Amino acid sequence: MAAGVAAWLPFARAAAIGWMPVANCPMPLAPTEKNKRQDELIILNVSGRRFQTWRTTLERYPDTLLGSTEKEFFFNEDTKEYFFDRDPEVFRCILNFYRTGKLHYPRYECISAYDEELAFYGILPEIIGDCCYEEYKDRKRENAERLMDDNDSENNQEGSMPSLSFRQTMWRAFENPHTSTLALVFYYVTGFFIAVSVITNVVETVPCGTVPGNKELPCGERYAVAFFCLDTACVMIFTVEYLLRLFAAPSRYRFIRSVMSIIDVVAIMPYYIGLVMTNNEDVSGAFVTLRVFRVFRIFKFSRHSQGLRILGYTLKSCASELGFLLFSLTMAIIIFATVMFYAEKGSSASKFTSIPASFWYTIVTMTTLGYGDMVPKTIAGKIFGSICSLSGVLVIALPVPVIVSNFSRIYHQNQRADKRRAQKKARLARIRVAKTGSSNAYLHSKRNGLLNEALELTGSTEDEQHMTKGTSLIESQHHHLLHCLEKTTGLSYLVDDPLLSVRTSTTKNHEFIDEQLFEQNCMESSLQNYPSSRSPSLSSHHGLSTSCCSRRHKKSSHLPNSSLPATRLRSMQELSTIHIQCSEQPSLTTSRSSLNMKSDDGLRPNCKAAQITTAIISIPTPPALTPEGESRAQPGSPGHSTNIPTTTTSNIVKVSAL
Amino acid sequence: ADTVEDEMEMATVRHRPEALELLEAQSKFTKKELQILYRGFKNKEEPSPTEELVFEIYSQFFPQGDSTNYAHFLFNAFDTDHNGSVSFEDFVMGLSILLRGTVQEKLNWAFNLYDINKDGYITKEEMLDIMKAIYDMMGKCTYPVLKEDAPRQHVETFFQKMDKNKDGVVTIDEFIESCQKDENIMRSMQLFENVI
Repeated sequence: MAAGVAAWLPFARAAAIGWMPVANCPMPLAPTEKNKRQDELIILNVSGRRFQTWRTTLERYPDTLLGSTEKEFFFNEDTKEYFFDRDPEVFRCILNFYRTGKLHYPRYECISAYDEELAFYGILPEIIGDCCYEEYKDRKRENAERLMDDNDSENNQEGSMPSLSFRQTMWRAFENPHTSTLALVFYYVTGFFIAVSVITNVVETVPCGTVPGNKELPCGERYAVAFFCLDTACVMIFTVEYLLRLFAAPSRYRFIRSVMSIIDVVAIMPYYIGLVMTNNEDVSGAFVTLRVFRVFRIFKFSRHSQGLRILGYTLKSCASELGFLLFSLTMAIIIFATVMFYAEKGSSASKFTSIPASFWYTIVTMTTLGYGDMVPKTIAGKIFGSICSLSGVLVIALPVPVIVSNFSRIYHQNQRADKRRAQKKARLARIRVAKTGSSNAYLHSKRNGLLNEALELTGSTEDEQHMTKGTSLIESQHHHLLHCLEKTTGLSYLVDDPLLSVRTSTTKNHEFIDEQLFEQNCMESSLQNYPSSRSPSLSSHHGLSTSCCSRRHKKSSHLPNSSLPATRLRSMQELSTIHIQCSEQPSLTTSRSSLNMKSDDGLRPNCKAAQITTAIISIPTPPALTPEGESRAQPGSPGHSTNIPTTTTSNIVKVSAL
Repeated sequence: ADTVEDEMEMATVRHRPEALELLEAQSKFTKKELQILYRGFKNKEEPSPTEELVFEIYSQFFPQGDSTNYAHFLFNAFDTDHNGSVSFEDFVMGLSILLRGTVQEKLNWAFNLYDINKDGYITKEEMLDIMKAIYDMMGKCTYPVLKEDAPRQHVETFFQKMDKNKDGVVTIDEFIESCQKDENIMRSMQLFENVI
């Protein structure tokens, strides 16, 4: 629970007395404080600097080191204080977290040192307050990248390659030419041939010399064979390169869809198409246009140049700004073209034959090019023409610097927004996981509590210790409060688990299920079979159990079962059914007739009898495997947290589990 | 002039300890307990709690439900002088009754909670409001599913039990008498003895 809230628990519990006269059922027993200690000051000696705080302050967060009994390991008997051989500066922040409920990240602190301290004290970094979280994440990412770079360069220098497959080595060589000399050679060779190819495309069209017949031929036709050979060589190289990349790619499908591979394909396609199509006069026109695509080979340089890639990415990310510029320009062009057309309509032999024809004039004028191939002749035309060119200056010249500066601003902003969104998602997911623990823990401990009562009744104590560990006093008090509310209203909490698609509930219905009916229900809900027992013996099993209610409630509790992989079993709470017989029959046994006894569908349990008998059908998981514990054990996998079952949304957000 | 100032200074200095002693005398808490209460009480942003705070607290404790109405009623029960905020004195007095008071006092407090307009009678409407507020706190995800008339039925049961002369309202005497006859209620009143 949040810091301030835990302090109000006594208030809420006291106020619960207001429910008592209204309740129809007897209330559950309050959790007893086994060793009630008066609140005391404890001294924390961190590397010589003494901090003092109240014990209850630390106990607000019972699943951290300082809040749990783990700190007893650090208790120094001689000086009666807790000694930690850690950094006192960071400890200040950590202690403030207990006091105020907010964890801050000091900027002067090194990120990895801070992380280590947090891990030592058992505090999730996700709890860092909004004020400091962004900074923390940024520093962390920077650090991670730096470490990654260091690792890479280390690997390169050592030349120690773990046994990667041939395919993986090839891919590495392609992506990063500095890994080996062969890769470097390949890199330069391909670069050279790209350049050669581009130059030949260019030179092909230069007129070089004449042939008899007084006609100037472009070099391409004069030395057709030579050029053809060059082209073939280049295309060969490119094809081989493409096929090699395709072979080495870890995900071929993804590779084919990537931009670079499309460019590769487009670069070499014209050649092959030209091979296939012979010198057919009809299609040679189309063929010639295809040759235009050869110029795309120049884009292959983007593999060789980091700057090109960044530029491309920047343009992509500023697409909306550019789009808006284009849109406003288009609007202006249309307006002026229309105006010019109608203005020049009167003049004879006017070049402004139609509005689309005027587009050309407008564009040339607005961009202050002014070719002069189209000029207005009428007075009106000239007036509007000058307005057009003046506004062109404004429309073009002003936004360009703004857009340029927008590039960098929007680029960074987009980065930060996406970053924040991704962080937020992952962060909330992890906090949700931690919080799930509390609501599940309630039901869990409720079962524990009832189990305790049953055990007390039947007198087997060896399992009692089993159940009573794992929940702090504050938690147990909170759960008791929730339980009181359930008793007052006659309803009980339901935990809906969408991932498991199993409904769990701890019901307090009145039927005592005998084995037959129980098994029947279980089979109807297609569960794994597991032994049911009427005696509260703890047989542990890892099956999925659901709440098997009586026939009467079967229709309202449909329990589709899903077969879970073994990994998920650890992370979910086992569901148990506890049936409490609040009837007037004091006996433990029952018969079928009693199942039909309470056939009124009212919600009010007729609890007149004082006796509570419990039949425990299945067993909760051992306390060590609560989701809380698990979420702590996996600090580095925020993505995985979404697999851990969550409870209903309204249930999660408000309760903080720490 | 000096003596007046001195007196004023001493008065302000002496003010705080007096409150602690005064509270100790008026309530049934020891000094240590009062200290603990005050530390928790003071550990929040606003100077003194308002209804918002009670609502927040209850939302944290009962996350699945809607605690607005109940928080409102509860706040009014604590805010004995009806000035919109609960001072520490009010808080301590309320808690003292709830935790250390006699059964009579506790029942009195509960009656006060149910009697929304503080006129000395609990009508069915008032009880219905309270009941709905309590049921709201449970939220929607309950088993069995909450029926529409469940609060009303609950109120009927309550009135059947409490309203001796069947006049449609429950007075404080009827209330206390009926509660004292009910074993369950008597027992549950003692439930939170050891809260502080």
